[in-house]
Amino acid sequence: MCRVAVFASVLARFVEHTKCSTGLLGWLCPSQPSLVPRCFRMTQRFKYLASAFLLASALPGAGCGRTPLDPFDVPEGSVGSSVPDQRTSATSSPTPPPTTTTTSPTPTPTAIACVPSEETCNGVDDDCNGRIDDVRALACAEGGFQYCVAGKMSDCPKRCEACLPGSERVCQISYCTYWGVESCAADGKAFSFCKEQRVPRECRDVALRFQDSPELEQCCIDNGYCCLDSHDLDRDGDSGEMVGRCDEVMCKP
Amino acid sequence: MQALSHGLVLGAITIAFWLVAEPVHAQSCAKPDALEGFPAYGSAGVPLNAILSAHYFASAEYDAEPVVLEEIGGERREALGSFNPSEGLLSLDPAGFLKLGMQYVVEWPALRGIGSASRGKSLKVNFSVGNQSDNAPPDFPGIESVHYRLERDQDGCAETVQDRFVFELKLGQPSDETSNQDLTLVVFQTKPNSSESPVPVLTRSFPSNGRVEVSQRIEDGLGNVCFAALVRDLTGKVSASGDRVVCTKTVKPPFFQGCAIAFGRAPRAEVLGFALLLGGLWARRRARSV
Repeated sequence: MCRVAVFASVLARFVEHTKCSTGLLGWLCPSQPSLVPRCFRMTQRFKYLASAFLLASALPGAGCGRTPLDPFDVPEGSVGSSVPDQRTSATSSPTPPPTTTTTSPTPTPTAIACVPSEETCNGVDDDCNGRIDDVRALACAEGGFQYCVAGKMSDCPKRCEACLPGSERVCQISYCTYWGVESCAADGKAFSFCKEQRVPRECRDVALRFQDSPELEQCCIDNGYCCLDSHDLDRDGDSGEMVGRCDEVMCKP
Repeated sequence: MQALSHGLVLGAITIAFWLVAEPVHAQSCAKPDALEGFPAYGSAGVPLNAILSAHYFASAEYDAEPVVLEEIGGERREALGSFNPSEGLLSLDPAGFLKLGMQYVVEWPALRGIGSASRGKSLKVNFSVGNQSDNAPPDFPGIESVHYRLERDQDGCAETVQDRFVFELKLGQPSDETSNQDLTLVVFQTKPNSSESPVPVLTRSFPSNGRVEVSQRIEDGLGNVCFAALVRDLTGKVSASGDRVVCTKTVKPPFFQGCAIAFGRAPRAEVLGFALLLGGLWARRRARSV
């Protein structure tokens, strides 16, 4: 449908630009010069028709836009191959993200006899018992276990990834109060953006005087808040970390 | 006058409710509730050597609250659990308390949240013990396939829209010596051709429909993303399924999949009006040109 609209657009523009030139009229009405005015009207009508068709095809559907990303079901048996998008698209848009599913190849029995050795986490059935990497889990100091996964020992589990769900840290903004708060998401994976708040009394004067500044960050730390180190006060090159009293914000056990 | 005073009172109550309600909302987004029990409510055939546990929300903090285990119509025992804050898992080893064929109820305590005085929900689980111990690890074929999508949802805690890749994993059917119930699923995200260790991204009960979703931040789920999974039974033994890795390749949003015409979305009155406008213009043009 989009292609039809584009074609109509091109056609309309062509007629527009030719302005019923002698050449076009001569091609349309080669042998009867007396019919030129009528032919002119015909080409004008054609131009409006083409324009109307273009508008009619474009407006009702709101034209081209972002389409939702549907899950691409991988049919059974298509393991290891990418599945092309089966839906029609009206323009030559880039292919949407396919879902590829691959599994690591399970070692097939070979003609060479398995020589048993101590099982280690290496992606190989060392002890020839038919199970790959069936090694004992290692206890983590802070709770939980490390397991052998894909030939490597996994990390120890963590309470959360970025922050404790629902916790807050203080941040600075460049306008009005210069003081804000970022809230940790329910899944503990990220903070919200910095939402402006009233400056607490103990830092009000600092905020008025120095605005978004290292001084205000220091005031935040000194008054027992968990603060975003946006001015890198600890000079470790990381301005995205937290400083201050962050025991109830950080992902520590 | 009376109506005015009633209105003022109502307004004051509304303002007071609004002032009180806002912090309550912030607190309630991450309540340290007990989420699920292992064994689950109503489980039958629980092995004699089972270790009982309950999964709490990440913000839960254990402060030596007792776990109550009671044999229905028999002995009642209170004991301190062992809390693993990394997984939010409170465990109790009954050590000989479970008897063949008997029914029990275990009460997992309500825990406080970190930096919070309020407690979350407790959990009461009834289960019955089977006639044998579990001495073998469970079998699990691992993850069968992975599909992904992008989600932009309003987060209850952050009160902002959060972008996440959601990976839907189709799981193989596990089996265990005593019962296929009460297995814990642990999913890991791995990076192919990398020296980085696999990272545990999800720990929960094995889903009855064999499907589970893992959500990741955009930066953590971009490009080649691989998953592996294992199951853990009630005795702590795990399946040897960590070598079965399933991968997908994600694309950074925003996604653009081409043009789409949706005629159904246009209001009919507007289409009709547009058609009339076109007709009018056409008639006018025709009248002028004749």
